[in-house]
Amino acid sequence: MQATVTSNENIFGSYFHLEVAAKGIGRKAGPGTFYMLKVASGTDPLLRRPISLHRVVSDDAVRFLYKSVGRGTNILGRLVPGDSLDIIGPLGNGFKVGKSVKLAMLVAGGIGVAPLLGLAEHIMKTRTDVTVVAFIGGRSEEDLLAIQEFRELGVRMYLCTEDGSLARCGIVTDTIEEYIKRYAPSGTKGWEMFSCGPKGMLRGVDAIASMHKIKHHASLEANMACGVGACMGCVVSILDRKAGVPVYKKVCDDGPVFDAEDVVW
Amino acid sequence: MTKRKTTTPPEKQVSLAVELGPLKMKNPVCTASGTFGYGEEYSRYYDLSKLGAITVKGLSLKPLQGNPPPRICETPSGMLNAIGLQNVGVDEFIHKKLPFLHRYDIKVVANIFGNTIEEYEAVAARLDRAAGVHAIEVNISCPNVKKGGMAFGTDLDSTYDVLKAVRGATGLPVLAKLSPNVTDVVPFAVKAAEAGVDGLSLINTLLGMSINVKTRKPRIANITGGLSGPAIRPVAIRIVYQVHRAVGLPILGMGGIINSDDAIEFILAGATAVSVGTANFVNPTAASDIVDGIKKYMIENDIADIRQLVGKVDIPA
Ligand SMILES: Cc1cc2nc3c(=O)[nH]c(=O)nc-3n(C[C@H](O)[C@H](O)[C@H](O)COP(=O)(O)OP(=O)(O)OC[C@H]3O[C@@H](n4cnc5c(N)ncnc54)[C@H](O)[C@@H]3O)c2cc1C
Ligand SMILES: Cc1cc2nc3c(=O)[nH]c(=O)nc-3n(C[C@H](O)[C@H](O)[C@H](O)COP(=O)(O)O)c2cc1C
Ligand code: FES
Repeated sequence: MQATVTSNENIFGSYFHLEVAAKGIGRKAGPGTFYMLKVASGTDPLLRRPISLHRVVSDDAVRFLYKSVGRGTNILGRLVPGDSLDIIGPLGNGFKVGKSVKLAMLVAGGIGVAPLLGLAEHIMKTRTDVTVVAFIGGRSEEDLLAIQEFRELGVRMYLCTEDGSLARCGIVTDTIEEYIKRYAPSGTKGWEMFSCGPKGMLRGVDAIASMHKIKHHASLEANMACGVGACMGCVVSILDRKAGVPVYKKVCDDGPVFDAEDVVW
Repeated sequence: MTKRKTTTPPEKQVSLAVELGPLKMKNPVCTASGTFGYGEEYSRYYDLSKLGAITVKGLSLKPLQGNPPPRICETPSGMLNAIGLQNVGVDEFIHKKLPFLHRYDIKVVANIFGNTIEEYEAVAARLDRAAGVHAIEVNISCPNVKKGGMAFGTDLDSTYDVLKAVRGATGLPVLAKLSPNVTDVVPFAVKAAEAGVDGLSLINTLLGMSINVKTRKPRIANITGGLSGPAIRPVAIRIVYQVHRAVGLPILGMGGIINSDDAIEFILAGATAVSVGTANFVNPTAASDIVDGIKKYMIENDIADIRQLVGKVDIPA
């Protein structure tokens, strides 16, 4: 669909907020779903870029949070209000918050926070029985994103930076372990983790989750061509529980959110 | 009573129907194998009955896991893929995927491959008995394990043998999808004709490679992969042109078709019908838009029947 850019703001460093409007674009958008953006018309760059839903603004508008890292996202950074942008989506399964969840632990590394703000918002709006806490890590101060938005939502945050430029110095798994040490003795029933970030971080988080028997939903990334399940280009190795062997599943279609226990890291 | 004059002229009738040998299509637009899943994936975007045909992902005798990721990367106006022919296998295709396509007024082309001639034969025989399969496209760009892993499609004798075997295993129309990774495709097209196939699919992906200069590693895990997209179009046009002049078989042309002008270019070079591949990824409605675009081109250029255009590139004397 053709969307119209309503704002595209360089927050700081290489991070941008992009807001687009199109009829119905936000209507079916669940937390953790994503869109495929054609950043420029023509054949180079050819393929669409996958970007997660950051926030639903209304039925007819959504917001993205993206990091300019290469050719496609650089072009995206040059869009101005009024420009049109060819978008398909929402796509993918998104995060599912089960009925038994009491504590949702959101775990973000760097730009991985993008889909988690929308998840926090969704839970706060629809599930008053669930407490949301967020563990947000980044390389340095400028990589801790969406802090203000989480604060406004009233989400308790545990922050850390690898260089210690803001909050505590360390990686996000340290803060999770501390939290667990402190609160787990009274029971982890109903605790679930929802994570997005670099693969190494997700693997670390998963080790903690399985040690404490906390269900862990991880949002994964892969190079994509179609985004709709047709090309088989975006697979990751996932354990097929019935067969007991790993199989290739599509991030775009079977994911991007997987039961982390089944991911072959 | 005198007839009232109409202010807008009635829409001109144009005929888009084509025949790839015995395979009759209501229009010349098909989708390329491996780029359209099993059809269902794109049925959310438009009515598949709009197309002349669809070609499904390559099928093997047994399900196949395919290659480790990363499997794809973007290249200038194209992409490399090394999916490794991951597919559900011919039996699951027939039972779980094919019934969905019955509801559409569309020809279904089943693309097949194998590692031995016997596998090709067995897959073709199973599809031959399946309701709702209208043609078989034989991908011969696969390693022949009994001949040291050299692709069937790069050896003239293997090309003949495998196509002859498939021809014998089915009464359905057979299209041979030849490998472009040879010095001259024409002798292979001649062999395919001798083996008795009904048409030729040209071209499959070109073998390519891309390196990340930061990490100094290949950008896909398989190291090399198949190049597709607009980057390969001139090569595909050249091959279609050469083969059309040399061999009488109808051609299903493909390679980098993005819009209807590209499709017309293939038809002028000698293709009877065209397949849309990588373009589906870029624009989910690409194949459907191309049907509309061809029709518009015909109306604007006074072409009553699309078959009139086949091979009509105007080569100056
Ligand atoms: C489901 C999903 C959701 C995502 N959500 C966000 C988000 O909300 N915000 C954000 O900033 N980024 C997100 N990404 C990553 C984003 O898609 C890449 O950063 C972007 O594609 C890079 O494109 P480029 O042209 O700038 O970089 P280049 O490196 O020049 O891209 C070259 C090619 O590699 C692909 N590619 C490169 N990096 C990645 C990557 N990390 N993941 C997938 N493909 C990649 C590109 O799509 C392109 O085809 C998401 C990725 C996925 C798979
Ligand atoms: C992701 C991908 C998967 C493909 N899988 C197959 C396949 O299974 N069998 C086959 O014969 N060709 C396969 N192809 C080749 C296409 O059918 C087509 O010949 C080629 O991509 C050129 O057309 P295009 O440039 O329009 O994509 C595949 C191509 C791509 C991009
Ligand atoms: S991107 Fe094509 S199947 Fe996932």
